[in-house]
Amino acid sequence: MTIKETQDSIIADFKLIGDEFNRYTLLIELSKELPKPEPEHLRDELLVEGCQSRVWLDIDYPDGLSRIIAYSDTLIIRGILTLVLEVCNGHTKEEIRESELYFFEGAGIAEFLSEERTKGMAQVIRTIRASAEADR
Amino acid sequence: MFRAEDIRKDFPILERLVNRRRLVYLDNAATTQVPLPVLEAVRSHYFGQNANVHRGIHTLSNESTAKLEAARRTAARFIGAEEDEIIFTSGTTASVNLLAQAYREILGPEDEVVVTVMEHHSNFVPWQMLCARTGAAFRVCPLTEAGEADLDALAELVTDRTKVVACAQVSNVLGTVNPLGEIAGIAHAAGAAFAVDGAQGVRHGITDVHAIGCDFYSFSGHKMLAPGGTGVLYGRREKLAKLTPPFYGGGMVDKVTVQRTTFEPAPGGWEAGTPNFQGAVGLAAAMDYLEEIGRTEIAKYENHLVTLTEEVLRDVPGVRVLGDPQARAGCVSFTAEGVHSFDVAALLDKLGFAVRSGHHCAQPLLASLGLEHCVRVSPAFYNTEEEIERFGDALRQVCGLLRG
Repeated sequence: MTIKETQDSIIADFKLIGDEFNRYTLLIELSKELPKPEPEHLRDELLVEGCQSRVWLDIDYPDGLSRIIAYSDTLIIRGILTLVLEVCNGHTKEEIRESELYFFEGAGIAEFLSEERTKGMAQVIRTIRASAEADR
Repeated sequence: MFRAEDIRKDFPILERLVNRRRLVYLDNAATTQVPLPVLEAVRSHYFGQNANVHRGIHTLSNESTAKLEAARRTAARFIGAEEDEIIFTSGTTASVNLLAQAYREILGPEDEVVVTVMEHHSNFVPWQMLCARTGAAFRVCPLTEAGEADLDALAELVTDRTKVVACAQVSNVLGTVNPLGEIAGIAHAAGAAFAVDGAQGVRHGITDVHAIGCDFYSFSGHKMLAPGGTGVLYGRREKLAKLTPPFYGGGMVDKVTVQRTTFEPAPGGWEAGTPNFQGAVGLAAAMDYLEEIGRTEIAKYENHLVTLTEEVLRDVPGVRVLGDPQARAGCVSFTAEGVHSFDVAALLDKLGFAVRSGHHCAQPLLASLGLEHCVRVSPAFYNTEEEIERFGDALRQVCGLLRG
């Protein structure tokens, strides 16, 4: 699926769930799908700044396709990261550069998070974008 | 004896829904709700007497000034002080900073300031930075296992070089009620001034600054049912007289010429600029409201709720209540095994429960407990026993879900 198609599918799923608590429960369920990475992917240098929960982001493009390994010490953020990986993994730098990333607002995820954590997640997206800008 | 169910009528916000569920507001250590009589007092001031204070000669200005000074008298009575010892500020943080800045002129490298490790950042960092700037030594008193100030350690830390001992009346994380009388004794025996952070304590029971024996006392309006941007710095007259107010401008001057300027005595001299006179009216109304209900009755009921909260917490598997002080007021904090405080608080929010997670502006305290975060529950006298029970059920549900 394209980045846009994946995002639209996520937004549709979340819209089906009316209740915020149940959306949260879904995020927690999703968080269980995020495997804990090897220690080498949890180095301090990989911590995303501006996140109150700790978020590690290890981005690479082996064979030209994005391979992002991400993790957090909080479940809710892990749940959101599974969505980020679903959207952003397996794409070229060009695809990432040219895609608008709107599923946070669309799926109502921004409403789940406090302003600070929303900023933190925005930084995650920026970091991924920046990786797609590098070596142009 | 009041009933929380009756009191709640004064707080319409408590009826709102959050995420389609009834709000259960348990974050009162952060900010309390404002009752209708207080809102009405502020509204009435804007409708009837709103004008700048002190300098005008017209009727509105005189009436507004009278309200401000009446508020000052109310505040003085509220904590057992004299009128000229009450300085209106924008809150505890402003009060402590004001005091610390005033001490900047008299502290030097031979001096010391002692605080405890349980302090809120607002009663920790101003003193820490004061010492950094003046070269004075900054000493931090540790806690006992139970989460109380270690008085033996304090007695060792306070020497005849100590100029200020600063500590909280009540811990904003552990709820520990500090034995202020004893700490005052230690401070004064060494010739040090004793500055108390009353932000968490002022709402719980009756505070009498003379009974405590403190030289300075700071508190915020928004933690005691008053509008935000209000607060008080109490300074014992003799102590204030020895300090120079560090902020200048209109309202605190006597005569200003190009060559020199003279200043008003306390409290005016400490209130540079137009004070938040509208807020002060609200602050006084909040004090009247608390007195009318009965501060001792309120304290008794709130203590009961905190005890109930502790019981409810201890009943949830994997939950660890922080600290076990002899006396606790206002709040109790916990960690839950295997889950992050943020997740707990976020999920509880979706169920309508407002609690706080994180370091609660007490990073040194949390570090001393070997923690990075915890969840704090802080009921007020408008919460009910039923709400606390429901909180317990919700917590059990949330922890179960998170441990999944």
